[in-house]
Amino acid sequence: MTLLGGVTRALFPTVLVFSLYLLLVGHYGPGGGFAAGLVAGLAFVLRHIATGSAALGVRPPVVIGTGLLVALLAALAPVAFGAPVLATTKLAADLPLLGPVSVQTSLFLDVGVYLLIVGVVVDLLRSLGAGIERDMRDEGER
Amino acid sequence: MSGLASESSALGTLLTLPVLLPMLGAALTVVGSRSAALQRIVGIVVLVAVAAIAAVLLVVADHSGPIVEDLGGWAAPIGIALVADRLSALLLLVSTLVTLAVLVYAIDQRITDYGRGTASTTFHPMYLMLCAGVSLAYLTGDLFTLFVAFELMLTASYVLITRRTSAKRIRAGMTYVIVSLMSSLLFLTAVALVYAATGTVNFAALAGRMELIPPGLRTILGLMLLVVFGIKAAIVPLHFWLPDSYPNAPGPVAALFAGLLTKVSFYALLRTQTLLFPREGPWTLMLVLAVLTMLVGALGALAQNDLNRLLSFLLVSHIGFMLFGLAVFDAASVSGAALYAAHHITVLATLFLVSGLITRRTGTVALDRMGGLLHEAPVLAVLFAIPALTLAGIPPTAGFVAKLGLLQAGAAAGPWPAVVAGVVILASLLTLYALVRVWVRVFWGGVKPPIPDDDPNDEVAVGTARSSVPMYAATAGLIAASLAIAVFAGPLSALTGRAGADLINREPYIAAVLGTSR
Repeated sequence: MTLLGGVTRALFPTVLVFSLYLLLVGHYGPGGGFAAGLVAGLAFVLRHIATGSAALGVRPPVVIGTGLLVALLAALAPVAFGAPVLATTKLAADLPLLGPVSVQTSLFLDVGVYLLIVGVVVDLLRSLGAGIERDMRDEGER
Repeated sequence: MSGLASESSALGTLLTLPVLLPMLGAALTVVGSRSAALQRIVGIVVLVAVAAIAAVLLVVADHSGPIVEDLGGWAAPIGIALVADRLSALLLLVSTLVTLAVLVYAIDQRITDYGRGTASTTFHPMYLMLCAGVSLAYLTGDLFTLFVAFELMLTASYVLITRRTSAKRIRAGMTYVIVSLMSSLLFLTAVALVYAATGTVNFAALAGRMELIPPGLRTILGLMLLVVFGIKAAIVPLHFWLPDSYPNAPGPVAALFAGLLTKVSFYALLRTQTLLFPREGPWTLMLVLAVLTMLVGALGALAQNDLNRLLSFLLVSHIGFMLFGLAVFDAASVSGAALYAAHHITVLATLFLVSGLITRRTGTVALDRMGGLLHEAPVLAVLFAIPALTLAGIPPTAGFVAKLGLLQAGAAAGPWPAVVAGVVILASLLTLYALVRVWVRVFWGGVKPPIPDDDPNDEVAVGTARSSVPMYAATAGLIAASLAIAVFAGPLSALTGRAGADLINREPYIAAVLGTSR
């Protein structure tokens, strides 16, 4: 295993966790769905460079579509509670182990954006990176 | 002001749906990109729903003034407001009917060429995204959201114009992409400068604040927005990209672009100039641009041998007619421009769809290589003749009705507008001449054999007599819509008259957005 492969193996989950952190703090601090999605996308870029594959387990367009769907449903959901489209509110709960937790409902929109961006980055890797993958296969055969 | 405390109205929610429904449709068609049937059903259902909503919005806006929805409950000018007044609701309705007909045409072209089971990851989502962008551009109440709407629309159009085509077409598509990106960059700069000068991007708030900034600065901002929308609406001398890119797109895509994109830009021009930069009396610069656009477009059309290029030049020429309405700058002329825009959207989309049908049969867009279609395809001849006469403005078609309003307003506005009104008649005659040349070459003369498809793998199938009935029906449906404009000319011009008065008066719009009761 190459050095890059080892580092990637350690970094990949770390970067993903960091991206989730950015997603959650986005309402009050630097971060948010878009930045978090890009950071998560970078994890996939790293893995693509190290292993030549960024497979996600599902087709990227499905991830993009699901993200868009989640974001739109989050935008429309307030209507069911008699509020305008895109309205937000604070949800507070006392969870076991974690204690009192509160989130802005705009988080759901951010989750949609996050998924969309991850899907776009992986789709870009799949289409633009196809040449790199072919080159790497050719190298291996030689 | 945020939070669930602020109540929402059903009407306000309805106002967001023309934007959100196509996006929802785009999401569903991406997720279900393996199922062609699902994609088709979602696309058509969404557009039918948006058309119905647009009709409701038009009736309500006409009856009880502009409808306003503050997104997320944040009141304008801090939040983003969506506004539907008579003009935007009318254009939204007409545009949605056109996108619906073009979608039916495109779907059936795919079914005819590739079979019922062929699904595509890009076409349906991008088509619906473009529709969402068009809706947002019509409904938005602020300048920055207008920029977002244009980007949404243009990004989707980049995909549609370059997907699955030959290298030559992608080269032409690049011109389109680069010119559009340039104008978007300028647009973003203009938005930033407007915000720096006034501290707001909300149209209604800007209407008041523009009067407070120095006149020189105001003129520069007005001209910057004129150049931005001028590039996108193909005003001469900023039109050069259009006849190079539209003709290379597949038939339904060209129809969609020709019908909608330039008119959305004209709508943005009309909205910003009337609301932010009101003036007393005719606007000389715009009169000159209108004359140039009408004549360059019409004369350019005469020199073409390529049917789609010819139609593109006519498209440019008739943008000039609408500019004339804006240039005269009174309630009657602006209402004439609004009616002309509604007519222009339907008729140009129809002509490009007919051109697509002709190309499918003859295998070429070169006028000198086709002939005798009148005997081979009489239905096609009728489908071409009606929109051609409408575009030329022969009574009693919709084109005549729309042009009459412009001419009357121009003649009443003073000596120079009256002279330009003469140019309108000249450009109409040139249009008629160009279209008669097409008629003579395509439909009369000896029958020429169809030319075989030079690139069977691209999106455009040509040289085949196979065109499904729904493709003809979609085209005929648009012609019927265009005829309906002529039949209901009375109520329609009364409606656009009220819309034009609103645009010049400004007060109903500003009061509805900023409100006194909030």
